[in-house]
Amino acid sequence: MKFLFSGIVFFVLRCGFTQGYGLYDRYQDKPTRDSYEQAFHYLNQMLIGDTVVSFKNAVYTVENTYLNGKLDYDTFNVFISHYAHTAAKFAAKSNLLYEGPDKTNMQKLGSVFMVMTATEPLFLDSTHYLRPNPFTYDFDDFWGDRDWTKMFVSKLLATQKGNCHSLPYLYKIIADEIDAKCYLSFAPNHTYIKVRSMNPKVGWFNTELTNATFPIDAWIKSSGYVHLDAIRNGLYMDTLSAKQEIAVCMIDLAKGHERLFRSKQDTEFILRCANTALLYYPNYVNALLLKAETLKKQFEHKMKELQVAYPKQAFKDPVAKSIFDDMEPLYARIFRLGYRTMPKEMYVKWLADLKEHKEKYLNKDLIHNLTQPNQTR
Amino acid sequence: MKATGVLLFLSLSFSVHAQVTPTADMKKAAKVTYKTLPAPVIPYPYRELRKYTSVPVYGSPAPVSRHGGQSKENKRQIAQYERDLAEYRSRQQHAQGVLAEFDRDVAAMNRLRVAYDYPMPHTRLQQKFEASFVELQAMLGGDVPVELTRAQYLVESTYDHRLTYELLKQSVLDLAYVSQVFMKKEGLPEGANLSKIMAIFQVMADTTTTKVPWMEGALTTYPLLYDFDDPWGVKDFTKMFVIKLLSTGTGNCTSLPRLFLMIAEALGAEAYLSFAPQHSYVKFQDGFGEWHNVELTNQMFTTDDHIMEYGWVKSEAVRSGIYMNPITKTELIAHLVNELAMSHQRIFGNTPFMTKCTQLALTHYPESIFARQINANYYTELVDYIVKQYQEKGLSQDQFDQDQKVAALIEKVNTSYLTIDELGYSDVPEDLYNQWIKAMNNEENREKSRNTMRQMIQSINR
Repeated sequence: MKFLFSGIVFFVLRCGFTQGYGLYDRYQDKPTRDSYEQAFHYLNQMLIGDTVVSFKNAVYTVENTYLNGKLDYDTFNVFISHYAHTAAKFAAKSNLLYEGPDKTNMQKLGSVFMVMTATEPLFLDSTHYLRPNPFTYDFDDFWGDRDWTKMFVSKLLATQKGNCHSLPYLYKIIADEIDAKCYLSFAPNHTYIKVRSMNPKVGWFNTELTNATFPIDAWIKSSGYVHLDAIRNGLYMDTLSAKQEIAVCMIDLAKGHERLFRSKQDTEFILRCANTALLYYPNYVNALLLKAETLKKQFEHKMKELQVAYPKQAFKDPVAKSIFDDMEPLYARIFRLGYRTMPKEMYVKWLADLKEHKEKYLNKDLIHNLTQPNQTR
Repeated sequence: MKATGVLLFLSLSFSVHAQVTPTADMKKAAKVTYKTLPAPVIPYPYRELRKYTSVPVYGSPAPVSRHGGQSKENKRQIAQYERDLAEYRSRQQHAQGVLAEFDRDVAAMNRLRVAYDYPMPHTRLQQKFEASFVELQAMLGGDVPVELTRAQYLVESTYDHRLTYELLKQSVLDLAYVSQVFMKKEGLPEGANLSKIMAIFQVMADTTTTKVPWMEGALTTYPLLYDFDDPWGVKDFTKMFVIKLLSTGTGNCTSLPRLFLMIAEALGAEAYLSFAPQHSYVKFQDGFGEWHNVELTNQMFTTDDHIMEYGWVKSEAVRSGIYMNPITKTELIAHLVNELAMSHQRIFGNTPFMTKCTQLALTHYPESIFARQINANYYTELVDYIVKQYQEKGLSQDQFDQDQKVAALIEKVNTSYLTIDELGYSDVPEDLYNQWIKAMNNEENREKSRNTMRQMIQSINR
């Protein structure tokens, strides 16, 4: 009965949430810089350890700040808890064919995956089932070039369509709610989920939410054009700790700030965010890139001020020289860590590649272990 | 004290085992007592009052006969019997104490007799292994110059006794000479690292015809091919050896890259060995500092993606450095120490020599997954071996559970498997491995490989 009630509340709220979402792209009043400072302060406190580290709250804060406080925390919470509740209920009754000491964790993660991607009704108990409403990939503006809110978890919740940023975030948030252990991981311009199975035949495996599959590492490496050094240095395909997730949110905050206040001089906040994030996650490629790009913008602005055509001419100015001295080793470091730029067309091809060659890149070990339980070592 | 205890035990050992076995004397005494007791004759009216249903027990009030109780003789005999019984009991108690002590000693001795490691062989061959080990150790320590060919000889000669260092060295130098002649013929600059590598690759992977001054006709060398039969030397360990490759012209993923590196060493070229799951290949740097892979099982240049895709490499393995990571020459020698351990196992089975080898290897090459695999397998089998001993010696489960040494070993096994999993180890079955080698060998990859080679030769000449 309680569950039914929560379901009704959920649908009533969903209507409101979806309608309210329409306001996002035509907000009249911009958020102030003060609100950004507050958000920065909140995230920084999480990083320092003054506040409880919560990925959900961090994501909410970032999105709410960009939306100028129009995102209701309670509504956001009801959405999350609805999915978490459903997943927990499904996990309790699911009978996963998997053997290992971490079976409960795997059942929870499996149910989160099912709740997010199921295309058939999920029967929760004798009287209730989940209407299949899978989250799908939104091929329109998937990097949020036109509309930054496309990257948001709240947008995903409202429209059931998301991208490689919001889908894994939501998975991680729901998993956190029901105490399931999984990790976020990066690939070039992409985010996915990594899980450590204690069954030695499975080990680490990947969960890809844009296509709802379990690809092997080679797919990410070969089709994603990941340089071997990038893996070795932990730039890509490495797991994130709880604090590193907050550092990632901080970069999202800075990117939102960059979108809203497109002023070339006002780069102090962005640099502060990038530097703080780099303290906790030194090899975070997006933070390194954001910092380098911001420094480059500063330098170009300086060049314009000094009215010079070549960088060398600007070196007479001590400020310009110091900016350049900061910037150049940073770019060199990014390259040395193994970063290579990836054009947008290549990215789309990459995602399509997984759908076409699903046979080749599917984690057969995992599937085999889930369908035919093996003995652990 | 102990000696007297044992003596006592020997003297009493016949009487102690049964619960209570009275001696003949005691029986006699008892019999006498019973016989001499007067039979109760009770007059009719008192029959109800005095009822002796059982024989009176000593310690209870003595029955009094009509004739005025027991005789003096009876009393003396009873007292004697009681004294005897007391002494018998005290002796028995003492004997039990001695026996318990003895049991404890025996149990301790039995436990001492459980071997917590395999026995070390003492044969002349073992001395040869030790000599190889010492020389490799000296190479790793820096006392002896590091030489791959010598190290390879040290490993192979322990298994294959006919092999001499001169034979192996000369074969390698011959191929190096052919490579040099090829370099001159093609007009590749002699000093460049890349041209040396191209020449070695050409000599090893393709039919090469060269003109040498000491031969009338042209000298032709043929490609060294992959041996699909028993690629990991499970049936025949010599399949892993470079001398087998040199004598038969076919090798596997261990011997082919090894020979490449040996020729490179003779020519002074810089090339590195690198591992993939159950596989090894050669890595080298081009003029721009980019790394390339030489896959000698297929005679082509492969990409990293290819190795990762078919070799089931996980990103954790790349990150931890166990796979797809070029290893230094010292690390390669450390890896050869592991191979020495494998060779030793082939001859003697599991011995402590193996752990000695892996310990040395891990100090100089901590990321060596091979050494960790040997260790994990060794300790797993050792625990089984100890369990078997416990069963044979008839020791109890409790004793096994309380054995600290076994507990430590089991802990070691568990942690070593966990470490191996954490490093990102992945296992490839043999049939899939051969499939992979075959799958690599398609026209698309060949074309790619040819392009890579062309580009590199162009970059040398530029």
